[in-house]
Amino acid sequence: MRFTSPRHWRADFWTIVLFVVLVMIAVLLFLPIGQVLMLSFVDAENGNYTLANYAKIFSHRYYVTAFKNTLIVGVLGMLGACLLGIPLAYCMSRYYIPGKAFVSTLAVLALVSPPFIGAYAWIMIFGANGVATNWFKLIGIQTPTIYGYTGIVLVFSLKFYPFVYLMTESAFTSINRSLEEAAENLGCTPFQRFRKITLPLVFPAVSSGAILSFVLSIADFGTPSIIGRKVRTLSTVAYSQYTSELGGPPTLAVTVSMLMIAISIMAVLLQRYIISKRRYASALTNIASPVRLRGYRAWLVYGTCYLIVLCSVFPSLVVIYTSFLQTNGPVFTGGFGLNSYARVMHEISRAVINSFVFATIAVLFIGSISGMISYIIVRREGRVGGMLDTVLMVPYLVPGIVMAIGFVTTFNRWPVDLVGTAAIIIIVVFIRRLPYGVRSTTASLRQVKPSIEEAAASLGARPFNVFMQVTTPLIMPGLIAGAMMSFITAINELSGTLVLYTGKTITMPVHIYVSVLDGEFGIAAALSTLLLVSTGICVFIVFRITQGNKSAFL
Amino acid sequence: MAQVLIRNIRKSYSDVVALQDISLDIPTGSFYTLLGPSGCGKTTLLRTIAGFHRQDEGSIQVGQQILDTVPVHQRDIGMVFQDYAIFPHLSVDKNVAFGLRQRKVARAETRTRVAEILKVVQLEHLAQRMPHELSGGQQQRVGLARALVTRPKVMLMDEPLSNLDAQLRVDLRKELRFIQQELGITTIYVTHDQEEALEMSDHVCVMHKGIIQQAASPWQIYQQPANQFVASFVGSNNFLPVTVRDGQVQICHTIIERAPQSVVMAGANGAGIVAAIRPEHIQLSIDPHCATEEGYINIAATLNHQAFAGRELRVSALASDKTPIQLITQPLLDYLELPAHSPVRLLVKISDIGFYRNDEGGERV
Repeated sequence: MRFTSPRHWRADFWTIVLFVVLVMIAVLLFLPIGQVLMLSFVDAENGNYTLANYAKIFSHRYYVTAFKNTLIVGVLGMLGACLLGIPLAYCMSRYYIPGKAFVSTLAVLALVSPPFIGAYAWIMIFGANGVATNWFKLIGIQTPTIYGYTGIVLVFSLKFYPFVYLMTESAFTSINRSLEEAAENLGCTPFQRFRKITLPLVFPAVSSGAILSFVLSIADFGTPSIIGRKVRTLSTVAYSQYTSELGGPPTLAVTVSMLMIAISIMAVLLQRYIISKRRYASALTNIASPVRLRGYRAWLVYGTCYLIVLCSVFPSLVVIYTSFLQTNGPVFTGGFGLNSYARVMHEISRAVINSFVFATIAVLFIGSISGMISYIIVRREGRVGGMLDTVLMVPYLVPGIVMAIGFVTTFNRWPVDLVGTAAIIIIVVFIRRLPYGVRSTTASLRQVKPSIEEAAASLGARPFNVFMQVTTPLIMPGLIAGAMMSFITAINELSGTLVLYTGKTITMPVHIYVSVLDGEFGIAAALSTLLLVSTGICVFIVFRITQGNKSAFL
Repeated sequence: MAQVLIRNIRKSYSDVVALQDISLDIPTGSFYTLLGPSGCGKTTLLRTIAGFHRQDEGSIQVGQQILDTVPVHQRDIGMVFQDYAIFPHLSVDKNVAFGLRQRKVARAETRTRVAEILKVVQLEHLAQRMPHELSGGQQQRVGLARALVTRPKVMLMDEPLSNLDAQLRVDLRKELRFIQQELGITTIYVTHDQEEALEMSDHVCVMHKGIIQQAASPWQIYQQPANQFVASFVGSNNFLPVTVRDGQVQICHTIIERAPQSVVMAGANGAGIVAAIRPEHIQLSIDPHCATEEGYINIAATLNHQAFAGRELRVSALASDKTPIQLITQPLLDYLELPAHSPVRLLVKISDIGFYRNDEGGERV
């Protein structure tokens, strides 16, 4: 007896989901990036294909300088982040620090607060008319200028060191103490031991944090635009090029954009290459327990830790303080008052509402789809999952301003004309922040044994029901943490929205940016405080859900 | 309740063949065990029946239904997992009710059926507990109840006892078997534990390298292994080289009188043959001149080593042709205290000797 088995393809639930996700990624990610790539080869005058845009960018001094500046502030920002992050990580992991949780929470807050707030807060202190500048002037000291490289690198270092810190701290904690003891036993001085054993072992983690800082530094628009003055970077050049090319195809803006993407990709490839040569198996035995220091060394270590994190949240504190100062128009009149908030409520409530509505809608979409994408990445056999995982790295590499230009140049005519709508802002935020949600749920899902889902299926649950009744409840912590992280980054998003907004769709970060350029520091401070408070609430929720696991913020 | 017919199943992964042409008839209401070393394909076969894998070729029929294109959730096959796979976010009764909820069974009926089955697995007092408050054995009972409550046509069990403590494992064997017989449910059971397989099953299928080696009753599997692999995997065996010359069959310089004709024939045709003798089938005699009884062979040997293991004595001896032989005897002090190299006699009933071809297939002669 032999049965014949009919074999016809059936569209099961996950095949359909996979198809929808792939179409979504193709349309929302690759189409705009492809458009940017294509436009960079188009002659703006006659529409022919040409390499002239690239030739111009690599020969014209304006662009070459911006290119150099980008690399300079990127590298210096990265080094600054390492300089602050590595010592902090070492002290926090190896020594007893009073208020350790407080210190690391401050670092996380510095990480998630928008960088442009840092930029203009430092201007309010050390700028041409800054508090500290004026104060030093009174006692006859000329403070060095905060504008230009100094300011950008200062802001980047204080903004991005938490990446290096968080990644390196866990590496320091998981080093097998025996290795260091063996080094000492073989005759190393403590400093030699650190340089020859400890540092190489944490190098992969440091390099990950450093490259992340670099990529984010070169993509950042707000900081160089606010505090850079004459120092132009590729992102500010791309933006001003884009605004000056309005009306025609923004060929030069997209060519600059391609350059930015290329730098990001190179940086990430370089990091992968570095890491691939150094893979250390780690045995989680003999973990070092924190040492309690005494005397001046204790104060030195405590001081270093607190100085670093306090400096990094200092701009936020200044902003919050400023928001409660009495103003009359753009002028601070002395004393405290809620004037700035009143003006926010009356004059620009639209920006506040827009920000919350846009971010919420984007996050709801991210939340509802990231679990399913994770399911495909983790559970589906074959190469599709891995491919999807890699593809979702792309939004990290594409600066917001580039993505926005891609969307404007792609969805600007029939059948899909989204220019000037709220939808385009929401969609750009959605696709750019989707990886945060997916990463978080993927990490959660990897903890769930597949047999639990198989059990549900064998008990008669349809694939959709398995996902909703079993998988979703089990990955809920990851889902919420991911949604909160997406929300934080969504509501603080500046560079992409700046290209996309109209009077009706203006958001808080854009309004802050505009206010700072107009010298309306009171309004900027009140709006920034709103952003900081909502960010803080999200951070609190993530901490509660993940039981203080700081790696959720990476 | 249904019989399961498996026809010519093949399954391969990118570079390994997991199942090669598997065909099995699993009778209604039987306890059918797939036994084999890890990687033999037993779990792959079970998961293919469950529908977690799709076979490359072949067909599976449960009752009157051919399952080949039926998705997992429509197969109506219960499964018990090695790692229990209890839903950690649902209480015991909600875990058990899960399958009924999928089938849209009315609430009142669900309640009574859940209560009934919890009584069967003796968990009625823990209905409101969360899984993390249960021991491993209790979790596996929940897993069993959860699968049984939907009254599936077939139950599949993937090493359900292997994560439990030794004593609990032995207790649960009896209980599982009792429940299975009580409900009369067709059960396919995967294990690598031969004692478990022999003790619980109506039928045992020994698998190796994705091929069925033997499918038979536990008695036959142990007493009449179909080939060398089964003979060595189930229980233990001494494999002794056999010489066939002039119609005479010899092991260890000892002639086997009236050896089976098939062995003589095979040997005459030039096939290499080995004899398999189980250690417990060898009688030890400390009298070097002891007489040979009718139907026995009598091998001259010297003692090599004795190991006292409580209820038995494990003896290793060296036959006169230097072939090592292991045997198990009663733990007598006389045996234990014999000095090394003492001459002894090993007596084996000729009908207890298995003969196998000494080739790759190792078929029984």
